[in-house]
Amino acid sequence: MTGSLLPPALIFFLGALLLLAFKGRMKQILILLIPAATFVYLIKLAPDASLTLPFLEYELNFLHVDKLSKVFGYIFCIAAFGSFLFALHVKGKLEHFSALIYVGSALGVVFAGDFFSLYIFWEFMAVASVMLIWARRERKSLDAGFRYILVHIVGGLVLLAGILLHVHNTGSLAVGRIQSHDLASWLILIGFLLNAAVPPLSAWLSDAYPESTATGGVFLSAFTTKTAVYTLLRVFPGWEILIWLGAIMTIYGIIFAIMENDSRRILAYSIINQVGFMVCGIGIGTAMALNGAAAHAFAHIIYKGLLWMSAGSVLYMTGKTKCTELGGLYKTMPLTLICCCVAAASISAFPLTSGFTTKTMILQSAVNQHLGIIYILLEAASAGVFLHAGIKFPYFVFFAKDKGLRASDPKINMQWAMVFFAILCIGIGIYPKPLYNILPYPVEYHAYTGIHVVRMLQLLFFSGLAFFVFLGLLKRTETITLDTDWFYRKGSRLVVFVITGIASGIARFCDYLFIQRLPRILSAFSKNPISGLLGMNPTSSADSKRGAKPELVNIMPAGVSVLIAVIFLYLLAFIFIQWG
Amino acid sequence: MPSKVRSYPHQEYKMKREFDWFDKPDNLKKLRIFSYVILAASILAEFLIPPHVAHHPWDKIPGIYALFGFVICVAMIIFSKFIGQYWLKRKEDYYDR
Repeated sequence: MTGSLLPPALIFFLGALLLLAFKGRMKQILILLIPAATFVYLIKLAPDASLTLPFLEYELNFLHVDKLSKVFGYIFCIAAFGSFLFALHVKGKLEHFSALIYVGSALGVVFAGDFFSLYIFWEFMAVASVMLIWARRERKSLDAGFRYILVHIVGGLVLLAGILLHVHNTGSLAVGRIQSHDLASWLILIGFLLNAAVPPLSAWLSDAYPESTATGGVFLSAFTTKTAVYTLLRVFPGWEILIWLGAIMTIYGIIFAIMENDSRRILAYSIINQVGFMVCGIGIGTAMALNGAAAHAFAHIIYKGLLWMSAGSVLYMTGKTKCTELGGLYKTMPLTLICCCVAAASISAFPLTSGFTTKTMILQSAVNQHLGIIYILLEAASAGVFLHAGIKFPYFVFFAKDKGLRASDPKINMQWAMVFFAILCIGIGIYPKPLYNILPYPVEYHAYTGIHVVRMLQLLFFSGLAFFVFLGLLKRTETITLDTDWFYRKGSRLVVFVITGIASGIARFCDYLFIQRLPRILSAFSKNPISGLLGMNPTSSADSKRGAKPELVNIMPAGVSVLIAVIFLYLLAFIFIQWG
Repeated sequence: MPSKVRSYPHQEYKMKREFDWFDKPDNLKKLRIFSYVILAASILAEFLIPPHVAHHPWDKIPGIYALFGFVICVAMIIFSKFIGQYWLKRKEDYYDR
């Protein structure tokens, strides 16, 4: 290692180890100090710093610093600080420990200069994040967590296959823009798209995130998908397919969010919707679009974190998440409501909030590139965002029908975390210049022109009108919505049925042949070769009646193993004769 | 959810007079009128701002974004209602069965 450089991931990992030794107040200070210290460290980091380690005949680079990685580094530290503040009261160490590893690995991916270390941190992230789901300690979260980790392991393997092929083809491990459309690139792209929750690879998100703990959801909403957005920004900018995938994603998220009853699942679908804007911007690939995608990721992490905080507060105070069970909370949770509305306005891109100064860059770049249909789809999605995340979520949770819940605002640290993020949402909306300055390319964009503001307000207000006019159609029902996870949740039963069907069929056949039939014939033959040959069976009478239907459990391995042994024997004989 | 969390919020608010502004029909009526004014104002505002470059053929039509926002939202609501009703919505215990 060179000089005093330190990968940011390592700060978090060391912090996680220290955490095990600390308790109470010291633990609380530690988890706030780590992201804050990392943030300061990142500000001071030279833009061309690197930290390499030789590995076999390659070089691993744990610290690849440029403007893009710094933007994501900053926002990850801010998000971690806010989320740890929100989770400060949580007792026990599992949640904080895994959150530290999770954030550290996300930073590891961001600053990875080679595909190998990127992959390692990528897998670490999956394993650490699943703990935030399991920490809820309910049957449903356990199941959802297992599905989550399995999907991510498969995605990780696809990514690994892509990386290995890529290294084989190009001879280079370095993370950089890929332009060739070969198998290696597609596999890497699929690995990234799975983590970015691009449909049909998105169901893991809406399945697992809502089952996380009240505080864990805040962490989850920030890191996995945005790390994928970062890797797409770095490796696949300007890939045309991303334009369409992103645009479809935005609409898909809305349609599913409208159908959903669970408030946290609505937010999960709106992550998919918002990441769609970023993916689309990456696909457009101009300097403005890439800036827009990075800026939108920055703003998104904050307002989406804030939305998850308000939903988490409601879950923490009432134990409920379903719209059909919530309502009327404005009376007793005023601060949560206000912060939720700030976040809802930001995600809807109301002027003076962070969404307006960032998302409109992506829309403008679609206009500049004359992508008419894409622009219409993105504007439609902008209207739809207000519909589901901007109004539906706050309306059904805090207003609608009073369900008699009288929960107060949550603990003081949770309130401070919400206020912190709410201030950032409005700050970026009013004065976006500091954010624009840290973006990867120079920014020549002015969000606040008369026509931008008026059109956005028209679009949003009349979407709101549509919500209230058609409120009858939006009435919540006690239902769940099928998504692509159906294929592995219901489909898996089919697979199990087929496999066990085939396996037990083979087992039964082997049992019949090798355990019942053959030995009997052989023994009969050895006792009395003549009658055996003639088909008479002197020993069969007593035996066969007793064991007419032998217990399958005992017989199965024996029968199959005999078959396998016979096959191997034949194989060995064959090999011996052929090449011996 | 731990049980201690569920129990304590109730007593705290029983004593105070509740803030229930949004439950009163009079207030809701005021809110509705206010919303209509805002909707109208957002359309009228388009005539007050300086003229702009039209990138798309529809950019010249006043209030087109309002119309688009309303129509597309209605379309999305009806579409999701439709596919929910006939295809994707299931009972909550669907996966447990």
